[in-house]
Amino acid sequence: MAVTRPRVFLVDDHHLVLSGVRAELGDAVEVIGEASEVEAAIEMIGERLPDVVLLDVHMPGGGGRAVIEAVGAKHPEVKFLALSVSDAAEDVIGVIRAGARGYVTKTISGPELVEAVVRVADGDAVFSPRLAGFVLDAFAADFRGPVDPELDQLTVREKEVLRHLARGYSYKEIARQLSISIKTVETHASAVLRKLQLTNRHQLSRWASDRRLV
Amino acid sequence: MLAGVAAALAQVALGVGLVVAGITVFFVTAPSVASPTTGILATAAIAVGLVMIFGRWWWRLSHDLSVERQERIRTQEKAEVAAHIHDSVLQTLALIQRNATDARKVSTLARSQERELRAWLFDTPELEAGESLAAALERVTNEIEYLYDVAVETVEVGDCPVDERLIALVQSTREALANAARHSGATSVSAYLEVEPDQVTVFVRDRGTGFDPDQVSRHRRGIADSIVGRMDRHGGKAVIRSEAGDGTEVELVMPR
Repeated sequence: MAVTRPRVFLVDDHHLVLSGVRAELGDAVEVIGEASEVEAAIEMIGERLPDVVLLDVHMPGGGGRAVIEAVGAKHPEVKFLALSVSDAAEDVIGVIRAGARGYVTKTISGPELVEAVVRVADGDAVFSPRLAGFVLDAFAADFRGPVDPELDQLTVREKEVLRHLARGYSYKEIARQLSISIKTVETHASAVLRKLQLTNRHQLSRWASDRRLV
Repeated sequence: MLAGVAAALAQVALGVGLVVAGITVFFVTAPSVASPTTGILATAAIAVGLVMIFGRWWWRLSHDLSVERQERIRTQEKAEVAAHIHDSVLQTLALIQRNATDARKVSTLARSQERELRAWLFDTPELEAGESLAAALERVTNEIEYLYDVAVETVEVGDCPVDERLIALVQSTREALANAARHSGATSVSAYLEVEPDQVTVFVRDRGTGFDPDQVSRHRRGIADSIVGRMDRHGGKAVIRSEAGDGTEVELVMPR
């Protein structure tokens, strides 16, 4: 079901970012609160139960990941969208595996951010080009050991959708390019997100930490 | 000259004589397995005769071929130099014209161009074989961001050391980025690099004004030489998709 005006909670330890994001979101969403610390965020989100939590990846006290894990255990209906300047693959993959429905960078434009929030509120996945690239990279690595094709491999179509996302295409543009419906693009994106969260590829963590050293 | 012709004619005549003599020997003596010497001699005479008749032509033909090959290499090198000059010096001159009133920017541009040109002339290429392709691409995108004041969102999947062909790929990418930055009017450009076992692909995309690729002036050598031509010369392929009002995407594929 489409949420017309999602209730959003903001978590970032930089006040400047908080007010900036608030301004960019404008009236398209209802901002029901904000927090700049992990502990306070967990408590307030538990009380107010927003549709979407927009949160920073990097914060003292465990970062966005700690918030997602603590809230997700009690309130699985709350959805998370990671917002970051961080480009370290380990952190990005980390928040997604903790349960975030997507990842966008802070350079995103206002309208695009609103679109991303609405999409996450609807239960769909949001991929920035960079996240799409990370996922392609992670799943391209050689995988030794037993492979569960349901979780450890991307389908040809999923790869194609990811490649377009990495090239900077929006869901709408991908739908037109591949002659499929937007809904189908969303389905593929959600399937990829699920695989990313559940795959047992041990390479994934090693790959991510390798990237961090670069 | 005349002496040359006479010598050639004499040589051909001698060759014909040897061949005829050899064949005559075959008919007259009908050599057998028991006495093979005459047969061998006759065969040798025919062979030497044939070489004398056709040797010159054959030699000239192979000589012409190698001259042609040298010519082709020279043309290729020339195109390569032209493409480089276009990418660097001509671009910078265009930028200087556009920033003519900003003295500081002009001198910055001139200085960095001078450095680049010297490095190229004195054979220390800015892109070195063996360095990381992803790193080379990042350097190029940083440069474009700096020169044209656009944001380049770069996504890289995989990496490998660059060789001569991949350097050409990076240079073509640079040109595609520069075109997007200068002509599209978009404030951000996407660059996507994917390294696969058998090929390397780059996509450069903007959501700007777009253009009709067939309508581009012949004088604008950017697309023809620096992108399509350069990729062709190194065994790769460039495809440009653009529609007025719908942005442009340049796809570059280089086999490994």
